Amino acid sequence: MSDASTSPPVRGFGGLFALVRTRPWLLGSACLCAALASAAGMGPYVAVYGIALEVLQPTPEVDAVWTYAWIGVGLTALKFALMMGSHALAHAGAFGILYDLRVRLARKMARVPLGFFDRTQTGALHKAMTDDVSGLEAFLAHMLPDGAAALTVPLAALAVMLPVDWRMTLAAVAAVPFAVAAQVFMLRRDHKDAYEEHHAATEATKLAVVEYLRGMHVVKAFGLEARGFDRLDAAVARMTNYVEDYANNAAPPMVATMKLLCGGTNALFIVPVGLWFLAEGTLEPAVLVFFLLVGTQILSPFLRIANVMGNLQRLLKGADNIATILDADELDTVTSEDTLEESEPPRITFDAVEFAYDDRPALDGLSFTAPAGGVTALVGPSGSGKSTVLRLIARLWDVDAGRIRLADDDIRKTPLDDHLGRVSIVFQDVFLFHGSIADNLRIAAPNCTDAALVEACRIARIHDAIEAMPEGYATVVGDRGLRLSGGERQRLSIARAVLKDAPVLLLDEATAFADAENEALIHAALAEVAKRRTVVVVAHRLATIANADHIVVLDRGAAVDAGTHDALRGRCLLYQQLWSNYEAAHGWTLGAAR
Amino acid sequence: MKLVRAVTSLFTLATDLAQSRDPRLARGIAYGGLEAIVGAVPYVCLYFILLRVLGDGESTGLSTGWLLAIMFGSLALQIALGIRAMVSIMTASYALFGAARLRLADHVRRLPLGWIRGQRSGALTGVLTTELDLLAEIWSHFIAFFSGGVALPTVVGAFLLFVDWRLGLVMMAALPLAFLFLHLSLRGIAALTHGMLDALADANHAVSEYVQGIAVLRTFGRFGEGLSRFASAMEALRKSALRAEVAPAPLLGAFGFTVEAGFSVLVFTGAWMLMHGSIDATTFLLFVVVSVKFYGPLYDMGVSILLLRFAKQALQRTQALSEQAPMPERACSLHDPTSAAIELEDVTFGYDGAPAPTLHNVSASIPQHAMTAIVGPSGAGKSTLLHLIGRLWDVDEGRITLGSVDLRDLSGPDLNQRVAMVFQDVVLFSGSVRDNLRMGRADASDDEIEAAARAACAHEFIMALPQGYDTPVGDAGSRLSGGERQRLSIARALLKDADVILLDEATASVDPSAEAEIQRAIDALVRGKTVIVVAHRLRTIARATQILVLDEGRICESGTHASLLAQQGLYANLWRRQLTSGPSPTTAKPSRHA
Repeated sequence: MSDASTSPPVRGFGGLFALVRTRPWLLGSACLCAALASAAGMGPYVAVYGIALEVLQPTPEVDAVWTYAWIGVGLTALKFALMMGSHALAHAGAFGILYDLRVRLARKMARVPLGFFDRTQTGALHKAMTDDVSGLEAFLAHMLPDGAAALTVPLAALAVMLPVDWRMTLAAVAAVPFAVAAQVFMLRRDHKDAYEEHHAATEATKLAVVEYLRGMHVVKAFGLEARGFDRLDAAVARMTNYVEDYANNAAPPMVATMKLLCGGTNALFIVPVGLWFLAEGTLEPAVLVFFLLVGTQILSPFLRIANVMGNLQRLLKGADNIATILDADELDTVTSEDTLEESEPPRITFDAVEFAYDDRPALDGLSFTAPAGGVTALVGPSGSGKSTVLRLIARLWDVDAGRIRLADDDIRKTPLDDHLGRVSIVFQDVFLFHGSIADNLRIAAPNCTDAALVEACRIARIHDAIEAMPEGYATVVGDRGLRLSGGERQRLSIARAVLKDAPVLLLDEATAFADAENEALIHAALAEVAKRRTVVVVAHRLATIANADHIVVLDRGAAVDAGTHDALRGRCLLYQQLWSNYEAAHGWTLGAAR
Repeated sequence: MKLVRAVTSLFTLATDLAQSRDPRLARGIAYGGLEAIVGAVPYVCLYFILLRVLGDGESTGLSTGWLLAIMFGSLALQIALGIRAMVSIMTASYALFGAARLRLADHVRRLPLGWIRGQRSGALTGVLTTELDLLAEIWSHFIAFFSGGVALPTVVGAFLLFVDWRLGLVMMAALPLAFLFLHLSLRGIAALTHGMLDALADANHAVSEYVQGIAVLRTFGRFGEGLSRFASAMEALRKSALRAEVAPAPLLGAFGFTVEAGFSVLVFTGAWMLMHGSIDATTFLLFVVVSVKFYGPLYDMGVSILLLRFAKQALQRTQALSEQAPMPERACSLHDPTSAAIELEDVTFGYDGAPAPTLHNVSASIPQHAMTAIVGPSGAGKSTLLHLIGRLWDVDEGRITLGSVDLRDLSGPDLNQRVAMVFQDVVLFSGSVRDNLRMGRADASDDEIEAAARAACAHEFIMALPQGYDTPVGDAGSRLSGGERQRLSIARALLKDADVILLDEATASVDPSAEAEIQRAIDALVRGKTVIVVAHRLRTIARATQILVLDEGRICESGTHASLLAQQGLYANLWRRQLTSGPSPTTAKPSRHA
């Protein structure tokens, strides 16, 4: 796995074969078995030829017929044994490669700047890691061994047939050029566009279904059944139209190929040619029978290839998506042997930091210092760059200019993993995976004891809430589990940060929860956490500032002032403005209006 | 037999799901059957040609030239029929599954929202998209294959039985054994496939979690717990996928071997009979050449039956969805509501699968044109009560009336017209801003839309969008802040002008930077209406006509703010707690702005 993850991704067929080379023995032997199986598959027909020759003799011997029959049965058995062997080997190799690819993609995602996820839709990433990777199975486990068989069988057949009669051999393969022509015609004319349209129609359907289901409560509340339906209706119609077009265009070459390649069609070439030579007296009747038997078998591997060709376009497109992800730029990482062994909370300094999301500037020469071991609150109007500050400290992105220091170290000069070890971050939307509460906490400290777990939850003021859940710490949460309130999720996330025990804690306060009780709990938790850590909080609700030792006021990506609440209240206009807005909103009483 | 049942239930699948028929389907199957029958013609011709070549040349009937012409003609006819069959079956099956998708989507909206929300995320989307796609694909393949795969061996078998019934029976002798193997392998595969599909679902889930949680996972160590959770899900998928492919291989191989070894047995028996003079050489050769057309399709058919295993789970989920009982809905209301007052009479409600009801015997009178607030600790059932009044789902016991009419006796449109709900999670649909607002009332004029937008404090930011009211929300969606989206949804509700407004007070704090504007919008919305509001900040609803205090699903207190404070109960308690954790920092005393 490790050597696979260092090799550069290759696109197109080259990329597919590069994957094959990571499992050379399994896939190689699968191909060999497939080829041998196909060769063995011709055996019974050759044996029948032997029998035919024997019984057409004036005094046929039963023993000879017996022998041929046994050879036929034996080779049939061998064929299926080899086929199943090839099947097993090919799938062992293919699934191993798919696993490697998925892990490789996952590791890649841990290396890229988070901006990558803004540009790449999560749906596309998800598809690349699931469907696109799975799609490669068709190539690795099916097309590859089938291809090997398709190359071998004609050779083996030629080796058997040519010595018998070269003219009849030519007649036997006469259908191949026609079939190839039909395939080329089909691939060239329709396939690329057809694939794109199929994909687009499928996506349109999916989006329509998602919108329909997601907006179901609104649809119901406003009685918008028809409206919600329109888009789905249109998507379904689009797919139906596409299929009609596609079927009408693709069916003729596809059916023609299948008919030309299916065993027996080439009898149409073999029989007239054979009859001609028979009449000429240059062909034995038994030889004609031989070609009718063996000749009809050589085309079936081509047929199997033709059957999977339809997937090729989709498969290559998927492989291309995967390569694009693997090609993405990574965060600069320094590697260093000496890891920092300090647990003292560090001071955090921004020196003239500039940063833009693609072309949208976020920070414009921001400088400030968050003192060691205290709570620093970032306040400012929306869009002032508060959340960006946290993301840069956590190195989810890197600065464009200027630098950020923890204690005295530029964070880009610290190995990324060491840096991440020193920082905990509590996001606005808390990520819980499907699993127990304890599992979700242990992601921060896999080996921590139950006692440590409980202690962290007490500090984060979430222990009581967990105890009240149906199964306490074993309660399953996340997508398919118990739904936690936003406040509970954030406190759980704080507990994770406590468990991780990093000297720096970054907290992006949840905007959406106005539950006063929860606010109080979060503030109490923060006060305790901050005792031994440097805490930087993005305060969306100014009440949070009650806990801050130091407040930085941001506007349009720069610090306009910093200091204590009292000092700012006295001198900072923007700060006063923020407060008056806040108080007006907080003093709101429903039903009081005019 | 299981096999037969599986096949027949599959045949009716599409028509059952779509609850409609498509004449093209029957036509397509007929074309496929005809194609197969025509496919047997060349072999009959071949038989006569062989008779002439090997026999005494005295056979009657058509000349060799004619026979050859018929063979070519039948190939052309086969191709023509094959094209017709493919086009008909493909278009019919996609049309049927398109209709099935729409019917299921329509069915979903008749289900209680409670049921819909209880589904794990993506499960419904999955059924309506990928699982239906899978069923459509497998089904159309299967139908196409089956129509030919059954017809050809039947025709060929009947013809050969007619030529020589003894040898015909020998040809079929091994079939029972072969199908026994097929049956056994199907049985073994069912469990394995189930495990594989489960692992696949888990793996897809792990991918979503990883992609969504990557920012958080990285801060806990980029290659740590998060990656190893992901990798172990992928490893489980690798193992179970490999097992599902490899474990049935021996039985499948045995099936294939039994089918094809039948050929060698046939040849030996034929040769033996020939030597004993019980058949002639042409009959023997006929069997040898034509039986290939008997065995080949049988093997292919067996393999295609195996495809069904992938459809089984999708089939079960789809059927489970289509059998889920919808919410009873009246076409027209039993009575007209006499007022906009609401009565809750002994309402009890619990979520499916929850150990205890969320609401117990809740009774209350909600006066019209006044504000009633619902308060209580988190988990008390406040939102559930609001949703019941909006009839997002039905009460288990008791009843809720609007103007003395049970909600269940009102038609959907009547109820929708009278009750408007403002949700915390705002859903905007694809389409322009104007389209989204007009959902509130389909016949609203542009002026009315603008007036509603102004009242909801939305006009200004809408005008700042590139195309004003005609800006597509798809593009604007990412540009709109939470507060702006919320104001659009309030404008939508304003247009609807319903008598009853159901509101979650936290709606106002979706976006702290726009709280004041959202509050003004809400004030405009609730003026003169029957308002039921779930409140978190008690100050907001201090002026409510009536406050219902919920605790653990029961109403424990009710009254006005003043009377509840005097009671010194839960409300007074909550009020005190909120005062102490109030907005102003304890250290500072910001001045009040009026």
